[in-house]
Amino acid sequence: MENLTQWNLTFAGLEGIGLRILVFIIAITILFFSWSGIRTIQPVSRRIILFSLRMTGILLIVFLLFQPQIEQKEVLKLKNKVVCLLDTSKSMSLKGGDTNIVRSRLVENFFTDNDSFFKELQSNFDVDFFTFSGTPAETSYKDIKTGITPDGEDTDFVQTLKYLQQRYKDTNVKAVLLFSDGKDTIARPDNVNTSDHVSTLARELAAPFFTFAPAENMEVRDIAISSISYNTFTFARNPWKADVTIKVMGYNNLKLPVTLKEGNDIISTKVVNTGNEREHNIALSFTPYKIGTFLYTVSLPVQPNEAITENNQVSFLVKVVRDKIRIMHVCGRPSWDERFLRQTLKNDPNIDLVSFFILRTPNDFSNASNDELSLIPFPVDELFTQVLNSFDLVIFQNFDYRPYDSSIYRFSYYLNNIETFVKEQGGSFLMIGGDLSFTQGGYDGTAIEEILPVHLTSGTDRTETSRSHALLTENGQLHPVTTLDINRERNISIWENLPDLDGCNITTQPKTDAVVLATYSAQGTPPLIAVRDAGLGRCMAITTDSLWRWNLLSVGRGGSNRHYMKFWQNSIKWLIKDPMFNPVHITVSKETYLPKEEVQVNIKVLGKNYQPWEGVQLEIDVTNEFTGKNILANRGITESDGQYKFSFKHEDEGFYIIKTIARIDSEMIGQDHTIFSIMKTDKEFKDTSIQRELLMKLAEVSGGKYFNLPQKDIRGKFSIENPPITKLVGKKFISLWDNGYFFMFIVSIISLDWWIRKRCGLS
Amino acid sequence: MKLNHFFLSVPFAFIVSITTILPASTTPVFAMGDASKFAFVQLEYSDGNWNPRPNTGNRLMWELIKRTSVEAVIETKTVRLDDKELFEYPFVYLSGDREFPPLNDVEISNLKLYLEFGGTLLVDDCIGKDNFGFDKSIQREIKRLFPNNPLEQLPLEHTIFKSFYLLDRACGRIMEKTFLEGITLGNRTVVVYSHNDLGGAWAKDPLGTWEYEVLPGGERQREMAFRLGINIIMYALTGDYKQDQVHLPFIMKRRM
Repeated sequence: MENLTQWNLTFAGLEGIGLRILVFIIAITILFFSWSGIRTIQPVSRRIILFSLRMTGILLIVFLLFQPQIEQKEVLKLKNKVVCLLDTSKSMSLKGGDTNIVRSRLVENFFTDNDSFFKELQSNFDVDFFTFSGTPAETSYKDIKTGITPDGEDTDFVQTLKYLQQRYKDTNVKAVLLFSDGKDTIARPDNVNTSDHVSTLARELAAPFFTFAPAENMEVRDIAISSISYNTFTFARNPWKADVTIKVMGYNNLKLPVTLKEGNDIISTKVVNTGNEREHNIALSFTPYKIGTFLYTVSLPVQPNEAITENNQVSFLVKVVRDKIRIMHVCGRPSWDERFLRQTLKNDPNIDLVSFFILRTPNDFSNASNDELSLIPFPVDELFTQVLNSFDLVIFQNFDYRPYDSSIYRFSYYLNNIETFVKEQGGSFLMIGGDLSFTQGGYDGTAIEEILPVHLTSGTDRTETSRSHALLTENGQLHPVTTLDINRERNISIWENLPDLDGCNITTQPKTDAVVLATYSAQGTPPLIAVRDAGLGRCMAITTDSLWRWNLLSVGRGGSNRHYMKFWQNSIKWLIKDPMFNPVHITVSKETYLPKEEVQVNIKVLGKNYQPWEGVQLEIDVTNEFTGKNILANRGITESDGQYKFSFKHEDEGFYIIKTIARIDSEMIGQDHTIFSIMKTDKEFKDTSIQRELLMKLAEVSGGKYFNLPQKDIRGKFSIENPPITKLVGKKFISLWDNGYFFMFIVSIISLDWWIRKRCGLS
Repeated sequence: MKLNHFFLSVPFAFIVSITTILPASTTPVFAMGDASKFAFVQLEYSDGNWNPRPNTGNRLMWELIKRTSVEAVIETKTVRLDDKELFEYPFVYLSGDREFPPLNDVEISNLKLYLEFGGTLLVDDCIGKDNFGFDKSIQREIKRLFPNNPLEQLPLEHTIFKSFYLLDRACGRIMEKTFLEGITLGNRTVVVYSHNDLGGAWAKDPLGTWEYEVLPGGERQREMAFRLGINIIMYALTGDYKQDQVHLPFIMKRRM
């Protein structure tokens, strides 16, 4: 860039060519007549002097009319623009193959090896240097030679080119030198092709792209989980699947075990034979049983000489929610109690009900062939082995298992499965009374008695058949199952006014860890409704077969069946551990935070009446899910809205679990936990391959050229158009006619002509 | 593992053969009391012949106990529509062979409430003539009960025709109509109307003689009438249980 001064003569007067020609014609005419007037004057020298004076005078007048001026221009001679882009995303820190050279080092070496080229380039062009990952940042040649740090979190070619378009909107860019591994890491909609999009932007920039990427021998040795496709929430007891894409670079014929873990427990593994393929897609699946948010990790074993091991493992959170509540309803015989319960369950859109009723026993004679009957086989084996865990709740209503406990079908074995289903799988079990239930159903001494809330009387068949009513116990007044109204007094009144029942099974006594919610108002007040936590699951015993009377008879007495409905809604929710019945709820404002971002935590505690509970003491711990390291210990007390809120910040990436225990006067009333993560999304290492195709396409569509790195001497391998370019930075006009000297000169000429003529005696 | 139905196994086949020669009452029953059993309850109304087939309910109950796992009370109970006791029995039987005067408002509102909240009504016209006698009165009362829900023919796909036996028509003592009519509220048919004198086919005197000849199909038709009666009770007790997906493949296969 240099400054130049240019001079030009211009005329400001007599605009228009016609006028100027007219003036010239007049001037020539005047000269002609002047000559005619003096051509006879002797001597010739005098004649020539006079004509010269007249011609000079006329020319000066014409010159005056043209208003001549000198234009002085200050001009800046510019250099053409060249842009140099250097990818500084994290993927540029990867080592290539066995060379042990990182990609960014290759770029630095290019600048060192081609120092004279760059000096010449900067001499001939105005070169702007940028580093980029997300958006470009200006740098200098000196800084590049000092060393670049590849630490960008992602690579966004689209944003980078848009930035260039904006910045050089009015500038003539003659070339773009792009140094990158070509890996764009921005997720875009399916209908957007990144390569096409970037190519279009490059074309719009109207400058040739000379692109540089590490050569093929610079491919990294790496196995990477390049992508995982999964639902961030799934339904309990339904299969969940993760589609995993694995990239294998620099290795052949590996047997890779791909492992899916929940926390630290391995829940699924598949072995991939890589062969010579670079990309492999596999599906890992499992069936979650617990509801909540859980941490899952897909991992690959680290291979020898791997360039990067961070991409061998991906952790993520999956929220397991309840689908429809799946209930298996097994009924020993059709009855009104069964009918009204089934109707209630069927009418609940949140319940998926599978019923099996024994419509005919071995003692019944149907007077028809099997083909005339709609009876179907009772698929006991399938129900109680293969699909048992897909249910949330199993109901045995007045069902005697013994007719099916033959040498072929060991129903007692299936009772063990139910015990396991409840205790270990967190399922729930409800037994409803009748003449085929409890002891009468032969359940004394079985696995079912193990989980029931009540002890069974062995060997004797005892039922209470007198009509009487249910008595709500003290525990029942507070328990969510028997809370038919949130107002305690009204609730007690409702229970007192429920229609009488038609009897109950007599069980000896509740188990020590059971809670009796209602008893039957008869001799000994036997348990009518009792509940119990059994292992991970829950159990309930209802010892009557006439709860249906709370439905239809309530209506007949001028009331409604809503208390019957409410009772069953409560029962089902309690049995399946509906989170609504958990008195302690802990929530975080979102699942994933950035380092140092504020994590907002809200803990809400409800009393058994579902009202906010003030004054509850909370013990809160936040620990790293993997290392177990405690990062926060806090204590709090709930306020009048039953809530305690706090927030904190943490820098270290990882998955964290917040646990809280709620106490009143040192007695624990509940606990809850939730999981969140702190992390930056490390997209750069998901796929460590070099995307030369994108860089080649950029070069092709823009009229540039692609080069492999390293390049020891780039001179002469490509040329950049360099037309001259100047810029006017200032100008001024110097008038040649608008001054006294010029007028004096004209007057002098005319005066001299007059004086000579007078002196010579001419007219 | 695919299992056979228990009644197909050898031990059960043996038991079934025993029961054919033993009266049903000898089977061990540990019912919690009669209140828990199914009861055949006949509706009593004024100024009409509310009980034209006095010996019909007990016979049907006998067959119900003998053929199915349902525990039932043999004796027929009677109840009036304005009686609070109506709600003790979710299934009632209304029969007649002649016109009867309109039910009073209390009876209508009681019956409406009863049906809407879980009760089932079986109406049995002993004459079977359209818009004549008993039918004329029933049509009138149904219009009062559910003005916007007229009686409609129940299709053969209705659960009533497969709730226990697989049936392809409606039978009775006579064959006036091969179909049943009904009123369905939501997903439940609350009124079932037979025009074929079901009670006449079921009725048997105390000496064990069928009281009425069954025409035109004879004893096979009587058997089908019992099967229909049992199916109607099974439907009242189990609802659309037989419509559950698990049952359909078996039922469709047997109907082919």
